Amino acid sequence: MRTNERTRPEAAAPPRRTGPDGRRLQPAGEALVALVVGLLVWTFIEAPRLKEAAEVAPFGARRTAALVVLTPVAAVSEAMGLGALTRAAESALGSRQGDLAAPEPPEPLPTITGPPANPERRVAGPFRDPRPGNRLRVVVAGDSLAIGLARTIGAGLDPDLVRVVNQARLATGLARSDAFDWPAEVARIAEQFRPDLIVVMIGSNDAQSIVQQGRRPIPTATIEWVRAYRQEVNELITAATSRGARVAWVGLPTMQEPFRRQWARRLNEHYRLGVRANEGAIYVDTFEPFSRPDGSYAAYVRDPRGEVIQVREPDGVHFTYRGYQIVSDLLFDRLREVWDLPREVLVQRRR
Amino acid sequence: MLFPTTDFAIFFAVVFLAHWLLNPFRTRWKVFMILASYVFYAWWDWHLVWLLSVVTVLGQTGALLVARQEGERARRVALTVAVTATLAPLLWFKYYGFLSLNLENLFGAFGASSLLPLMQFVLPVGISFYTFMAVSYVVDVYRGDLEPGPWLDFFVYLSFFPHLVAGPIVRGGELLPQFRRARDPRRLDLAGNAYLILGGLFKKVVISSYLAATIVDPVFGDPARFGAIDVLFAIYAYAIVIYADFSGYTDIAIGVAGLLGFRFPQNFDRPYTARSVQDFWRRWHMTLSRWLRDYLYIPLGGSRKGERRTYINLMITMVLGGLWHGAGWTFLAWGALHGAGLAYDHWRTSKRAVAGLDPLPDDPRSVLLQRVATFHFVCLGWVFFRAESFGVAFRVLGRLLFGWTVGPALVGPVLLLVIAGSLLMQYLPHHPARHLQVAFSRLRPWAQGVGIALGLAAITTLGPQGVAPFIYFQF
Repeated sequence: MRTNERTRPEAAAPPRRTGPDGRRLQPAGEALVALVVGLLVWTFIEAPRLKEAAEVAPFGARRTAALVVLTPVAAVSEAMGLGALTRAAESALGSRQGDLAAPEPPEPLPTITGPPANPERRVAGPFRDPRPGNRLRVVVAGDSLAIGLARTIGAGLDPDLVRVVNQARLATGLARSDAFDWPAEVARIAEQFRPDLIVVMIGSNDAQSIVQQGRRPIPTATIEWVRAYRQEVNELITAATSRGARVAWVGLPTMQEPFRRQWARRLNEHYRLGVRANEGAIYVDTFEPFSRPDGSYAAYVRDPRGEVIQVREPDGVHFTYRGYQIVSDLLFDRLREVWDLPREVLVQRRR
Repeated sequence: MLFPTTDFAIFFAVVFLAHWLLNPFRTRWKVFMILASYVFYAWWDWHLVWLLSVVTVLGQTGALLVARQEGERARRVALTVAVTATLAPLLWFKYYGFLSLNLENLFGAFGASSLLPLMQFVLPVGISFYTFMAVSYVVDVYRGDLEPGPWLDFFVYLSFFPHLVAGPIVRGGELLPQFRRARDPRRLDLAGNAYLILGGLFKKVVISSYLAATIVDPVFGDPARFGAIDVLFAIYAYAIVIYADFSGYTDIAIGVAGLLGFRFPQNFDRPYTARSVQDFWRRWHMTLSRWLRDYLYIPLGGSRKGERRTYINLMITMVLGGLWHGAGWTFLAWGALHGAGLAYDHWRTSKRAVAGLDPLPDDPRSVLLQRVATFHFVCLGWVFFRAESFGVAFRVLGRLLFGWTVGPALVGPVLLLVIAGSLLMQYLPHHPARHLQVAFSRLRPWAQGVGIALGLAAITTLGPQGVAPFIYFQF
């Protein structure tokens, strides 16, 4: 039989209409109708949320096409009250808060009561002495790189003397304040939790146009982009330091992909400048420590004992746990050097 | 392309229509399905499409080479060459980094260097699955269980998108015959397959994501912060997470293939009701465990070469099975633990057989104890499977043993309900929603569509924002 010959379906006898469990077996045409109706109705129900997700996506043809389709559908869905219904259901189930498109942070932020932070207080000089009843308060903020870093910072500090709260959020950055406004969030964190220190590691999602609230997108490779990004960096740092919190800005490491590596190098310059312009902020470099002597990307490094360890994940962006431990150590060294972080808050790391 | 995404929903709607239109025209159908499957794979990372083609060419070339040899010796040599070549990409991408790192440290302990360059590769999605399928095809041809199929058929077999990135590991003898004839468009089990897909999405998007975010990730991320109760339930929760994640994906794969008229083998059968480690492996990732049995354990000699050799074969099989899951010492340890468990089962069965007893006592109390013991043994293995390092694994176990003075911070009524409910579901009959499925199948198509939409909306409402990849995606 030639393979391009039209073949008949397997059963020659009249088809059974009922499967072995009593379910009605259906022709493919009916299944297609069901699938298409299902997809269309689901899109209609979810259109407001899908539109919100499309709005915060990187600019491009895909985003434009999605918005062209979803904007009118979402409008009809909202007019029929479906959008409010799904939001109410989500709130009741606790699966989503507010209108933020960004995922929730890994843990809730406690509220510290007391007199308001004194904006005149200089956030310089040594850290206050921590005590079990009055621990140092540290917040980790940023994107997915910061999520990993928060784990090793927490593991590296004595929980009796330091409280570390992870407020990093996946898929966020400084470029899209329409999706998530980090300066405003840092202000909120500083007001609510009064941290002594906010560790920031961010930027891996910022290789895109900048959108600031109420303004048109600013394309990359323009002087306006540079100004706007530096403004975001300054606003974030100021949001913290004006409310009594120091900022330790952990720079981006080198990346495996050349495009990303170039972006990381450029963004780090903006972070350095922002830190330099703000008393109460320091910069922690991770680009050079994780590069080879010739400047190329290194997934493996030799630890002080001479053992080769893997420090980067195969995605060429994130660190392994051992890698994050090294980043934490770099941070702790800088904090001790500049702000005399007490030695007793550091946990002796066992291998 | 991930299953639980709008991209896939649109992709599948288009593929479904085109599939049934082209169904009577086998060659055109095969070409279309290969293209669609490669688009599916390229959506993840188009740079890796060439790798799928390379493994396909190696597998088919190897099978043809084996089939053309005369004489057993020549066939064996051809088989060795073919299997080695087919495994080579997997070994390179998945294990070179691990091997070079450990060799460098081994030589370094003696003040030398292994001279192997330290390189790291992005692990291509699905490579472990389609490589194993290609190897099984070559071996089946060698054994005479299968004739080499046409090139087009083999390309479809290996790239068929429902199973491409995370299984099930389907044999050539199970799938190739289904590609040769047009599928029957008059008798689709929409209700059954829609139930599988929605159920799989619920397990993955709701159950697995909730437990991972609520307790598993926090505890395994920093065990020292938590007490024994949180750690204990984090381990139980991870047992549910990995089951829900993987079986959820498999259910979706089976359901999607079913809507195209193809039958995939079952991959999970209520694994946490197992009464022994041996029973567990008859219920967990069934297509992998039978692959390990047929293409590793039995060729090593199985249980035919005496007790001692049987234990060695079990350990080798399970250690390699552990390494299949990941290039790391913790995966090796997980495999070794299960190898030890299987060896113990074998020893106990032998002893009981000598005494004229059944392999396992059947009284209700014994069955309950067997299930509880087996479940906890499997959970112990999951600690090593989930932990990033031995250090993290032992910290978790350490907190479990010595953290009873610290109260729970994460365990609450909802969490307990989800864990208990998920475990109890394992004890329900095979088709708990049978009546619902029958009623659904009797609805008009438009009403079925509304039902599907409401099911999807419920899942997206209950689930977290964003889509986490399936655990087994990087295997």
